[in-house]
Amino acid sequence: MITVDGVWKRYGRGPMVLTGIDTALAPGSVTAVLGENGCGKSTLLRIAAGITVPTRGAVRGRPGSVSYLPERFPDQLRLSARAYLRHFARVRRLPTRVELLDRLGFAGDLDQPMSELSKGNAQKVGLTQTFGPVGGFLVLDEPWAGLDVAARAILSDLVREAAEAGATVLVTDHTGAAAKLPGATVYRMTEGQLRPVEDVGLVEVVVTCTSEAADQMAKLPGVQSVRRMP
Amino acid sequence: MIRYLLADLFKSQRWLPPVFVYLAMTGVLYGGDPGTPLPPYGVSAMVLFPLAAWLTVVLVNNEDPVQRHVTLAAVGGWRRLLGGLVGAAFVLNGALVLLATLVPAVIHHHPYALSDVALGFTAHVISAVTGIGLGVLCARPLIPTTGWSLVAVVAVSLVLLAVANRLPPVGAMAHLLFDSGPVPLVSVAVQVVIAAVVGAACVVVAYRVGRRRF
Repeated sequence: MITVDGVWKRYGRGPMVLTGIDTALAPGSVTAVLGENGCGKSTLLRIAAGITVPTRGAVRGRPGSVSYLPERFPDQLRLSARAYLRHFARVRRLPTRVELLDRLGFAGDLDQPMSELSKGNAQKVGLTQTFGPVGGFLVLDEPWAGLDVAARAILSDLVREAAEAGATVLVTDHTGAAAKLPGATVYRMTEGQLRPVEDVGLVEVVVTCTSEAADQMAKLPGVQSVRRMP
Repeated sequence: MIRYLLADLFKSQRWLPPVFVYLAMTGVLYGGDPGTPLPPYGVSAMVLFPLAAWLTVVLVNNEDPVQRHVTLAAVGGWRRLLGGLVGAAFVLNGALVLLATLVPAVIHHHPYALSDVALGFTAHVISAVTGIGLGVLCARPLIPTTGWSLVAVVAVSLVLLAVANRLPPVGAMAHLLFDSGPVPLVSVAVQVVIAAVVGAACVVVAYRVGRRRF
């Protein structure tokens, strides 16, 4: 059991981003955090993963190695995908299932520097690095964004399989995919706090309107997230 | 972890400038007739100090900032990662130390006694340890941009090597080698202890300050 215990966070002298987060993440569970951009979701994930130190509070029970997938996977890595995956398997002392690359539809050269891969293919290497070891603690920041439709469905399968294999999953999402996962605990982050979302029957609606109307729509009760399409 | 950090560094080629500068400077130093073994060892150890710091900055700042978050999570936090970075810095600077102490002894016609080589080696290790300490203090996340990191390294090195150049451990050890006559071993041991304490203190400060900066 990984517990987030009274976590507060502010950067420098700025405002409090997180104001007392308490939650428990059980092995085999999926916890999804929804919320608008800049509401502190990514900060909470970095604290849970042990990257950022909270201003107050602590995260207990975290395993020695955490699989963290950042919102934008770095696209300027000089190592090849093969070397990258091998080094991280060695760092974690756990084998990585390289065959996940095929399953995700990776189409690229494993021996080229990763900076020469397309964005989607680099993201697939990142997913393989994250899901490669079985079990553990997976912290995923907007993993569905930036993937093609086929890979999105496979990612949902991977999250479900990881939880079934005993992994603890903490994920943020604005695409609605996380809330559709069976058995996921869904929270919405507002004003630096987590509030449970009771009804997970999500519907995606495409509306053409002005951006002011979109802002107002985001404030309506029951609206999980508003995504603007270019 | 050390293998990963070194592999990523070698792909970037940013390690080349400090190594080239060091090789060029020692090349000039030993190019003519450097004379008896110990004084040039002292000079080359003093030169190693800022370049070890530069090499450490390059090593620590090499990883992409977002990838650094992934690595931090995978290795289990800043304490472990800093340990790996210091280990990798020891591997890199260790190679320079061996080059700087063994190559002159092999290529020069002056007789190099084993004790001379041992003293030269000790002086270079002192410089490397202190330089690694300065490097981790001047690198990310304590100083976020590499440009300012190098300014800090150059400024501290100028003060230590030009203005206060008898200050322990680097300057004082070099001056022990410059002075003619037998080198007192107790003084050398004192400098080794000071270097170890300074290096360890720098790493502890880098850990304490750095952990809150991610």
